Amino acid sequence: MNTYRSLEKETESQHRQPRGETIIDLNQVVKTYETPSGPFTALKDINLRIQPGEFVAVVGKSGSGKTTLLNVLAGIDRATNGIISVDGTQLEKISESQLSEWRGRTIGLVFQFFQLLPTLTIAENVMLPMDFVEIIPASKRRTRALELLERVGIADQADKLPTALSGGQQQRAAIARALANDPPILMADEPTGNLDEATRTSVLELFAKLNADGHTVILVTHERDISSYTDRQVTLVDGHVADDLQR
Amino acid sequence: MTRLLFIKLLRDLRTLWDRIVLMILALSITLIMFSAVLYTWGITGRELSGAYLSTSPASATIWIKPGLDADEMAAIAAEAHKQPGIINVTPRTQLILQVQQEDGGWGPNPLQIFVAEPDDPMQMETFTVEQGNWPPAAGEILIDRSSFELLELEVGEVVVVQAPNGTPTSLRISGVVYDPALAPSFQEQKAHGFISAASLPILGEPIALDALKIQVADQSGLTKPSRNRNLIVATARDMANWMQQNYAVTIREIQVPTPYAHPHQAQADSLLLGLLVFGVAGLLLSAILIATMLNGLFTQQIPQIGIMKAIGARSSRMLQLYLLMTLIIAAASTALAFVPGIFISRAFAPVILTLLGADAENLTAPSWMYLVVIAAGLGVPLLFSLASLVKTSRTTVREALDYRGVDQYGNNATRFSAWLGRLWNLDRTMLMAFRNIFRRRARLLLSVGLLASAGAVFVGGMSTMAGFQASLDQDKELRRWDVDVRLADIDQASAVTLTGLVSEIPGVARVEEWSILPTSIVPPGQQIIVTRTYPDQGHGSISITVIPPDSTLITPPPLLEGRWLRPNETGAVVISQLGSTEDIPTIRNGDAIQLSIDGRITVGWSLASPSQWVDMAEASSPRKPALRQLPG
Repeated sequence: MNTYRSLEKETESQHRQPRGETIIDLNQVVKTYETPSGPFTALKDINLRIQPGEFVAVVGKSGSGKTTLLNVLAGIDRATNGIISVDGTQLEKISESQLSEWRGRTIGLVFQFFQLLPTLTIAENVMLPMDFVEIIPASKRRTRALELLERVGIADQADKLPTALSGGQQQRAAIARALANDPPILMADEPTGNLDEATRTSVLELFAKLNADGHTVILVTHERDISSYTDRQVTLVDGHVADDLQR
Repeated sequence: MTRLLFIKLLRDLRTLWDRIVLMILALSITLIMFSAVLYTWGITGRELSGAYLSTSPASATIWIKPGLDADEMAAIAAEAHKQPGIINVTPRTQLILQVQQEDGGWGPNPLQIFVAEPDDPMQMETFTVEQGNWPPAAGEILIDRSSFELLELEVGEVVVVQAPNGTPTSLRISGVVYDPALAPSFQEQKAHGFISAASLPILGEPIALDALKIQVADQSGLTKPSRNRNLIVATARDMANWMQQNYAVTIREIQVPTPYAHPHQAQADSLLLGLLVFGVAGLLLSAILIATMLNGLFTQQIPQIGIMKAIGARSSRMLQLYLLMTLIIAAASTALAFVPGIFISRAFAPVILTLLGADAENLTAPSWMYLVVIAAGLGVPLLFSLASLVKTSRTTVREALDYRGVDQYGNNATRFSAWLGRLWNLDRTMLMAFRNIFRRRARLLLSVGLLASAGAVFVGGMSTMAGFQASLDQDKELRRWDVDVRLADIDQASAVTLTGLVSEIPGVARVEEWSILPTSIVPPGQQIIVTRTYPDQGHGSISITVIPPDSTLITPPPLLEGRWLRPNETGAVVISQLGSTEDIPTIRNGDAIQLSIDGRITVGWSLASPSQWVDMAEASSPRKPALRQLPG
């Protein structure tokens, strides 16, 4: 149970659980979409196990099923077949509304286009997941938001609206938001796809640092030279796991 | 609702202020219209009823013929008061006078005078004396305040009048009376006055009272007049039979108007109900408008909903957020409309009441109406937006992330889009415009529904106006004469002579002699006539119009059932739907009915048809030969 009391006691590195215990387990997962031109299977019999504290890059060409895999893992999409277990929860067994709350506690999501709410300040954007999940007392939420923004290097931007920030700063804010409830797993879909080279490097370094702090990180990316940051690289081709390289 | 979501809500409202202001204005304008009419309805209904009941109207009037002197009637009244279920009894009479104009001729407008004994306790059919005193001295008259303008008279002036049996006589106007039980003189073109019985000899009339006014309770011992007309009719019949048996009087008619209802109550209700219908239609229209605009606003928020759900928000939180947004808009509109609605009703209600001849003592609407307006202002927009609210709040993260402003049509949309693309003369801009129209079906349906509803309300309003005008035009068409001269009393021979003389006047193309006689439908087995006539002898009454067989001035009115009268047909009658439905609701074409005509009960009338008629208060019309068949 991820309570605030336990959160306070834990150091960030204590998230790291002993390797060998599976935090994500996909068993014969299939995802088929109904399209105007007929059914399209994006994931075909995927079997994948991820250990706590791993930094996994999911790579592949466009249409290979990377984003679909991430969506299925985050409970954004429902698998057509197969069993998905994330942090001890079997996703096909919980409702859409329960999924939302589960996601808030368990997964920190980072999107390519940052997806910050435009009418809330950066600090408020970071505080919002805490409001939804309510494991952090209301009186401590702003302090925690400022700490997280400090951690990603944009504490001085806390009271600005997202439109006032650069792309890299917005992505850092989105990462801080993903960390709001201190979830064990971070998932990011092309987090560097919209950033320049320098910003891209700093964001990847940030993810590596978070992984070093104990978070399990799953990164969907087109980046070719990402292996220096990650423990493991899963390559998808036409919905199959074509390669699974451990570093 | 979390604090941050509330902050987001307020900032979203600020960002969308122009659209929000438009929504609030649209809703508040229709709420003003709706509330003003509703409050006016409430105020008018209560004040009209209150004013009417303040006159302590009689439950029934028993007319005898001939009248008795004051002492005899007082003795009957004293005994009648002891009868079971009788609250009050008082003898009265009334006359119709002609009024002399300044040029010495007799004016076109009659003066109806109500007569009571000088010692009448005035506990029934009473009135407010605004100037002068009751009872006026012999030779003096109090005039209803709405009659002064009609008669062009003032207090203190002397008016020359002539009673049916008298000669021209002068009466001094000693004061002003407010009687809300009477229709205003400008509406009826009839003046009203009040004298004591002491003035009757001056007018050349005997001191004879021929009306016994009674108030009937539901049970003996109760002091509140009954609302049950059937009970009142039964009690009045018993009283009439008792009077016949014990005092050998002849009962001319019993008049039992609708209890607790002002003579113009139905008119006021119809007018305000009509306005209220359009007020409600306007409210519904603005609710659809708001639902359309909110749907657009919620649709814009779909990506944000997706993000919030991705970071832990449940659907219920999203529902709360957008429910509150809708409520804020509705509450702001309701607040904005609240005071203007009250002010307009306070200006409008007295106008309606003046038309009905009543004063308003209290211009505050009933408190439950304020609650209705608040409930309508908050509830109707919410109700109309609910489907959109629930749908939006249930948007999944996947749907939100995939949202591109296009509905999921599937193959049908593809086929439709493809079909649009195949239209040979459609350029790309037009094609894009057409596809954009059908891009989001919910928006399209709401927009089309809004325009259709607005069109329906507009066409409904215009149709009502056109229908009302058409009805007036039809009445004008049916009335194919220019001048209608009503004679107080004339025999058949004199009428024929007069008709001949008038026809010789240059410019007179056609003249006909008609008779209009007071009538009622008498249920089988009854010998006492019971009508719904009000004390002014006009409202609630029905009459029969007797027309020459060769009449060219009459145009048969539209028939709801049956047929029009045939030439030289006898024993048949056409009655108006009003006359048929009130007294004998089950009456059908071909049934035999019993009529009283001019105080005499006749038999053997077969019903040709119910019809619409020029004057809705009239039943019509056996042709003249039919009258010759009357017994007696």
